[in-house]
Amino acid sequence: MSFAFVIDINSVNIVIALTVLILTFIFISTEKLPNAIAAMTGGFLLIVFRIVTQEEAVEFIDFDTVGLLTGMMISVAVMRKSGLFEYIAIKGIKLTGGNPWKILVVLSIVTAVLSAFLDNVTTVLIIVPLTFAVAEAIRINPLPILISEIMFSNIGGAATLIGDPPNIMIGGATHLDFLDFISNNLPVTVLVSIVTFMLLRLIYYRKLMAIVVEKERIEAFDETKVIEDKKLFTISLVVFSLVIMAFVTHQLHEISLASVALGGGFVMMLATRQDPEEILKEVEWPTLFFFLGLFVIVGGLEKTGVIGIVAVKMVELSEGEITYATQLVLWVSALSTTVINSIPFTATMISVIRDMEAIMPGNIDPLWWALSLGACLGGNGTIIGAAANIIVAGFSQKTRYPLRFAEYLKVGLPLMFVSIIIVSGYLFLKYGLLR
Amino acid sequence: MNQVKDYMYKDITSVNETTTLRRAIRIMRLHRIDAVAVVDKTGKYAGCISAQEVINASVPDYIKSIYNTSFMSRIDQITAHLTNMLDDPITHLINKKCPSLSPTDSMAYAADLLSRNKKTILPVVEEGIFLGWVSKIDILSVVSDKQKT
Repeated sequence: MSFAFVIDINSVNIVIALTVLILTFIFISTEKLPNAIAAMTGGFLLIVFRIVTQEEAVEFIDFDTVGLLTGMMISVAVMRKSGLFEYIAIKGIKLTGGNPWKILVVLSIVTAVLSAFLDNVTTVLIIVPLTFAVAEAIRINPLPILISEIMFSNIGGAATLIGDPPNIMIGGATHLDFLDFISNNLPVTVLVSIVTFMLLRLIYYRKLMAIVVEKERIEAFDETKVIEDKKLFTISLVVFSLVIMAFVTHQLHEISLASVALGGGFVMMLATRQDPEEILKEVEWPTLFFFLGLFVIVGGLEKTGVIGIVAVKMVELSEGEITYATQLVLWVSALSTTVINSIPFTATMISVIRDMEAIMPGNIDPLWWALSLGACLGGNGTIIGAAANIIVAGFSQKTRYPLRFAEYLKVGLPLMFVSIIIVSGYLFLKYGLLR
Repeated sequence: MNQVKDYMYKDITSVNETTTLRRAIRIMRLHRIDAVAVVDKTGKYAGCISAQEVINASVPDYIKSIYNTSFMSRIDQITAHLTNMLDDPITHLINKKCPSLSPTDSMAYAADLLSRNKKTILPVVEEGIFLGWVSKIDILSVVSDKQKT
């Protein structure tokens, strides 16, 4: 009698936790509610329904991820003031001599490199307005460049631990460090970049080069003017380089990423004499609360046992074989994140893979790489696939060149599939055949 | 008390919704003021259009999003946008919620309203009828020009 009662309570809990998770996914993916509000309300509901206690909720939060994000946001807020990013982008544009195809390539590479070190949304918020400025100056249609920038923000973000939220979360949750991400993800993202450029060239080269541009208008750009404060420029660049070096040498000093990032952020504020009031306002608090809420929801789901059931199913589907499981995680991640937000998806999958670890023999690292690459690159499939895509599309709606869902889909979806096929082959060779 | 009616600049020149931007700018230049009042078909005050709003509208959103535009100092995109807007009606530039003063308001209140709304000039309106303007310089003259008080 009492046993039946326990079962019943637990299944009610499963229903509640799943309902909260699914509703949160729906509200976020359809943009019916701001992310932070959806996730925090969801987390709150789990506490109200006694599925988790407040103490458990706090334990579920991965403060390594939250701290790393916060630290990077602080550093970026200081560096933005220095004009460093505009300087790099405009310098690059001038090197192209006004050749539209080369502008696409240079701005995409700058986007990829910045995305590898900064949050993708921040990167596109810097690059996209500059792209419009250049496109208008030489009177070309900016849409091919914007589409390419979206794709390369997600590709570049996949390359490093700090490049994209899924990677930051995986880095926070596992033993994998900065160098592991470089050695596993960087080679394949370079390969994907090369193939993506070749395909974009086939699609856009003739269209872009059909216009004779006024090169003088590019030469009129003066990148040296954006650096108003040379000292701020130098110090922030030096501190940021030190932070990256500390990430790279993690194995030597074993100071956690979150501590390095937060410490680096505040040292940068100290060294450049920033007003904390002003800089901390630039921290994206809604994003941080979004993460906090999600960790609680996923933790609640984990506690009810749903995550464990999904993990067992995935192991069964892949017959306990790591090679199959890797492909399964990769394709599920890529296809899911083309339509749903990669952050809640990754939060959920991290729990699933952790449970798989308990029941799968051997090293399960390939599963983390499959999740990372699938969740980052999957975002390229549609205009709503990643936060950066949505930001660029939203931004373009206010201009004479609105980026439409279908127009992006025609290019983004096939190129996303090509990239996942490349990753699939890479993971198969690296962890299947050459194991 | 120093009242708005004693210091305002009485000028009831106004335009309507269908006026072109070109004409509105010409009126501002001729009258040497930063704004022009807009009246509806029945002659009632309906808002104003200020030089500030015209300039704001001529700066494209993407330029507003660039953190530091000094690298574009030798590029003339903004005037090009403004030129394109010249023959359009001013409909979308009209600020219908433009804060206004009444003739019996104190000049002190006028000063506060100007600084709060970051305006250089405010319309004076009484029962829907546009009467004139109070500018920043009118406020300063309250203290500098003792004879008037």
